Amino acid sequence: MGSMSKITPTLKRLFQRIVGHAFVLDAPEVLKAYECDACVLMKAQPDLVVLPANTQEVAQVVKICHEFEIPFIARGSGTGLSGGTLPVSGGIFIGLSRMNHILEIDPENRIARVETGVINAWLNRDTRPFKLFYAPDPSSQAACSIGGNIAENAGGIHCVKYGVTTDHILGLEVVTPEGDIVSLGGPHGHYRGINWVGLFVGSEGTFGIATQAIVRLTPLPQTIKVFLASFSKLQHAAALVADIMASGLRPSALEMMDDVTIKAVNEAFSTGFPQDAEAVLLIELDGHTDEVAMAEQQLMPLLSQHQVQQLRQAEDEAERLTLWKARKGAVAAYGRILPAFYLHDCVIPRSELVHVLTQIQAIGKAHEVVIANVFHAGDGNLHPNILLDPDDPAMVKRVLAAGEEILKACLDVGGVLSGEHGIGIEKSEFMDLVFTWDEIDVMRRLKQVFDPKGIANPDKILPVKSGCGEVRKGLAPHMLQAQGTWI
Amino acid sequence: MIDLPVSEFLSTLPPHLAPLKNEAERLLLYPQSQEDIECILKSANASEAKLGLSESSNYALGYRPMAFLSFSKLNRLKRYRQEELLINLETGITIEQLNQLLAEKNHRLPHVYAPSRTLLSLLGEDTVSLSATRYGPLRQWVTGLEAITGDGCPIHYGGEVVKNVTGYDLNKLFIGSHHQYGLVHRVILKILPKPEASRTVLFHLEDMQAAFTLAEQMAKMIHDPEMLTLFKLKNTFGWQILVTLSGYLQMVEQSTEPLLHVARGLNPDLQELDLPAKTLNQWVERLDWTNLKESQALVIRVALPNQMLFDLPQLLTSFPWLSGADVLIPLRTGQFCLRWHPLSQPAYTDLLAFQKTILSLGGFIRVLRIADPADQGYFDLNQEPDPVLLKWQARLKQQYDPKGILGGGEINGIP
Ligand SMILES: Cc1cc2nc3c(=O)[nH]c(=O)nc-3n(C[C@H](O)[C@H](O)[C@H](O)COP(=O)(O)OP(=O)(O)OC[C@H]3O[C@@H](n4cnc5c(N)ncnc54)[C@H](O)[C@@H]3O)c2cc1C
Repeated sequence: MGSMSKITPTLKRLFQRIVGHAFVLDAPEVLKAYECDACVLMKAQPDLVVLPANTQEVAQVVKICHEFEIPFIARGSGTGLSGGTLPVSGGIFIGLSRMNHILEIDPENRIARVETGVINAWLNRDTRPFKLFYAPDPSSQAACSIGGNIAENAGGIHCVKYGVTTDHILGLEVVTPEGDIVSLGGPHGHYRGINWVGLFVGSEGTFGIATQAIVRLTPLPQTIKVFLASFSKLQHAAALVADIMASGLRPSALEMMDDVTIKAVNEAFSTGFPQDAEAVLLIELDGHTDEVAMAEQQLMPLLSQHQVQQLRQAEDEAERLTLWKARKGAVAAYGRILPAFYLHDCVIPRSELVHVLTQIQAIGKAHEVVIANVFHAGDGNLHPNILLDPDDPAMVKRVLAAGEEILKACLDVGGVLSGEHGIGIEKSEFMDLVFTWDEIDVMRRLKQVFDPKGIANPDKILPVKSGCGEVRKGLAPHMLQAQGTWI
Repeated sequence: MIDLPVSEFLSTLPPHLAPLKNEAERLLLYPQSQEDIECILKSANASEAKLGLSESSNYALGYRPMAFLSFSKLNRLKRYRQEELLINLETGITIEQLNQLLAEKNHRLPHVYAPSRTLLSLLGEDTVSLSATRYGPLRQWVTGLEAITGDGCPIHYGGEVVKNVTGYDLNKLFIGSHHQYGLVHRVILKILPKPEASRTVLFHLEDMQAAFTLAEQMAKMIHDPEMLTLFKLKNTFGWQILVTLSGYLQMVEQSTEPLLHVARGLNPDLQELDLPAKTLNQWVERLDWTNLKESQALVIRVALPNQMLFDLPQLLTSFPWLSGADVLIPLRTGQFCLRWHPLSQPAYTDLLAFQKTILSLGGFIRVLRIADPADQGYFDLNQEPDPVLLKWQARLKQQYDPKGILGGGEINGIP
């Protein structure tokens, strides 16, 4: 746990009165289930978990937190990869899992209104009959919540064509850190002078809790074609990605997997990816049937210029879904190699892919760690997964050192720290590699606009200036222990 | 005579920033670099001299800038990443200049804006382009920017990468907020190669209902039009529909035929096929109602869910005074604009009643421009009804421009 708990029995009773006894949890075995998100390197338990049923209950709970200055953290499905829900300074979790209703699907206006505890994949299941879909599709979509997606400005496989979460959120209902309920944006997607929705999306739960969202729905494409191309060299695949994107072709997905990943998914899903390839690309084209045919004509000469070992087109919908299932399950498949992973999420210019991927290979070798790459290549959004055994402190140390080097290699070519997983606690210590302290202060001022008391998901995104003797709240193992968290 | 804070302000500026006076007796400053803007803002803060932008005219009630900044010398290309389809520019550049630059490499910014506009003014308003039907708002094409906050702090956000969640999204703070919190002097935009083919067709129909019916049929029929805009202007004949199809040549050809077929069924009074680029640009310039040159008008923007835009004939007829307005509806963009020339503008109370109806439909109206400074009262319609938003807005101003140097500190009628 973080700081001394501020949750007195009286406060606990107040929360129980709002949401009901059954929905205030503090049994040690229950709190343990909440001790980390998918960034398992860091752990810390909340003092209490409160599970409200609706916006009014969220507001009442937050009002109490505001009055007693208790940190609160919104919790969706806990699939975050940057320690975004880690209660570094203690406090309560406000879980959105009971607020999981799709309130309205309006096919005429191509919008849906949902509670933010709704799981991403449910929305697509329910909009499909209307020949519509919700475009942002993180690989975790079977588990992650729309609220978590909003907070992280999540991306996904199809975002290379359709844009990320912020492009699909038209309106929000938000409980502010002062306990007010406010409506931002609307079904039209416009604003009056200040883009509150745009500011909120991606703020990682530090500006308040989104309780409902109006999302944009997109017509399902008439035709989808998926190609699997394999390469004997990772660099050939990377060069092709750069050329495809420079040509102006707009694939609906362009994903890359390296040899470690190929082997892991072949074992886990019997996908039959070419076992001897150093990389495969999954290239998807979608749209009007004629348009897809023409895009294919444009794609083929590019493929032939880049030493493609094997090219296969998914024969039917079933094969297409299997390919994507393997891609989306890649991270889980790594469990066959080592029990955990530490994952970076930098974005680099696509023309730098060859150079940076070569560097990542070298960094892995130098630090004697296994790095598996599976990523949104069309966006230049890398996901080097450094595999590890959390019970092996020496390995963890090497993993962290390799991670930092990868990150610096990306920044050196004009990259950014994160493309979709957010900064959370995990990357906050690196923010000063990208921003000046004045710029960080400009961001801190924004936080103060929404949350003057600093109780909404504190300690996230913004680093603490480190000078002699000051402690950063980053990932270095000894420092995590110093903060009361542990590996 | 120059009043004290102004002379104090001017005296602190280096010689190369000495102001010029234009024909309207405005003091104009021409910064040429980020450092110049920083210096001007810091000096203005020290002497509490209020500043305006000559490229933008959205000033709030009673706001009288002491000097104006022109970004006309901040119009340089900084980096052209052809292989990334990204361009890094100063924001004083006009759309015409930008289009020329891009055309040399067979690229384009797919957003259709008036050639005379600067990126600075478009970003300040987050102006919805006529091609937003396909390409969404301009903000989605901005991958990074550099700005100076009202109190003189230089910042950057994003970069020459197409995806980013590193820190709070400062792009969203500066784009669309009418330069109230800072001045954006540099921007990185996504661009596209020119399409293989592009075809613009203009239909003229006298009857409003026929025009809406045709537009609705086209919206259903055409796969992903680049532009589908319905409008009515004073001194032109009836209603017009401007349609642009672009993409692969074969697709454009295939889509045009059924389009013309449907149009024939509704018997348009005139149709102009293959509008030349020059004529299209002239139309776009005429349809850019927040452009400074169009200042002699009251302009409002109405946000409404997309499908309701097809029910507009009903709305327009239930408020008869709306018949005197120019109407501009870029379909599938969730909004439309109305414009009145000074002698025909509606009474404030009529607009208030209209606003009530729009609010009840889940939309809002926003006054973008008034015809005459004496009509400032119309801006009251912009007031954000929610006290929480007003509180946040006041805090934003306090954080980024505490001395109210920029724009008088008002967006929605409050400081
Ligand atoms: C196997 C795997 C694959 C993944 N693939 C992708 C991918 O392709 N693309 C991608 O972008 N991400 C991916 N992720 C990361 C993760 O799934 C996303 O960040 C997701 O958006 C988190 O949602 P969640 O509901 O689990 O949020 P949580 O982990 O519970 O919370 C994440 C953050 O959001 C905040 N939050 C949650 N709900 C709300 C709310 N209602 N209001 C305000 N703040 C809130 C929390 O406080 C926290 O800061 C992946 C993760 C895993 C484990």
